[in-house]
Amino acid sequence: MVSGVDPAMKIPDSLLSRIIFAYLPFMVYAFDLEKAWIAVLCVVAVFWLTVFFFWFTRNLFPEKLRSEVFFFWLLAWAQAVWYFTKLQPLWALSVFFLIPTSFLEPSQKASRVRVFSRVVPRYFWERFLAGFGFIGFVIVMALVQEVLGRQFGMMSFQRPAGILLLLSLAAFLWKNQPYQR
Amino acid sequence: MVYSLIITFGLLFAIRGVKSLTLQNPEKTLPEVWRQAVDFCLTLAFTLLYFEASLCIVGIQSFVQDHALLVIGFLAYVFSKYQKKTDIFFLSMTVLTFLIYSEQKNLLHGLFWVGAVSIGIALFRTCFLGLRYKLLFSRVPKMMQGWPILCLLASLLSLALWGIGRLIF
Repeated sequence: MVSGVDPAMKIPDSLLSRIIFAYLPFMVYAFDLEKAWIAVLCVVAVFWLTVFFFWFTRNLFPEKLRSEVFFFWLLAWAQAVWYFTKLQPLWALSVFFLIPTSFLEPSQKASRVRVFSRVVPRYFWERFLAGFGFIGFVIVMALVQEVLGRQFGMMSFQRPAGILLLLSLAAFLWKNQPYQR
Repeated sequence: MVYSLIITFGLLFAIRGVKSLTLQNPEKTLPEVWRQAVDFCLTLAFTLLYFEASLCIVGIQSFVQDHALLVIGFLAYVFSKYQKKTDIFFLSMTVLTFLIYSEQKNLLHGLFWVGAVSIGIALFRTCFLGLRYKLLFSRVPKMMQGWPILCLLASLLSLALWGIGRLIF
């Protein structure tokens, strides 16, 4: 048996994986570009807020309740955004996928970090870049869909089949970046 | 919209929604996929029914209506914890119940959506599992392994399901 892929097909928790997972709920918004824009801003704003909030407060919550607090924090934001913008809460799933899976795990003990340590700016800078990268990714995907769908009349690129094809192309280009070889 | 939901959540569950399903034993994995689909359908239907029932209680009616997402989230959380499901299951259940509740014309219509989405997701996962199993015996170029090939398979599958759906409906 020649195995082309990992038998267990485990997808690593890389930035690419997180961005693709976070983008999947956007396939439901694909029919309405404006809502997709509002959604991506919500996703990244709540992602940064979550990282900032839990960096400082996660030791205040009991270990077993941390993930519950995180989920109800997400739901509270989804409820607030629904109340003001009537945006469907699919974007909350994107926030969940953007955050690394190790986030809030009981095994991840928070070590003592001095306030003026270099670790703090680096931690926030990495999360800031991840959010910024996600905005860029969604913008590029939206533009490509707009050009292919509206300008060239290929409406299937505004449906999941076409979007997944674009995701496949994006993943291929990401995986085969010249400087990574 | 049902079609988009099926493809989106089908792919999510196929890759991240399960704890222990492997491709080595498709005979064992396939019944598990459909068992999970029944779980999914029942949990979704019960969350929707309980939420609709809470809307009929006079004292808390306006609270439930104003905080629909939180109430649905709480119900989905209780059902998911009871069944020891994953976090993605709980979040997806909350989002899907809320979507169906906000788009349904009446409860019967909502329950029809629940059935359609659950069967669609199970069908997608079954076909996806089959294709991934076939990949084990194929020489996939290294450049295409991982996400590129998975997205390509999902794309072709969703194109096929879209065609079949349009033929039937």
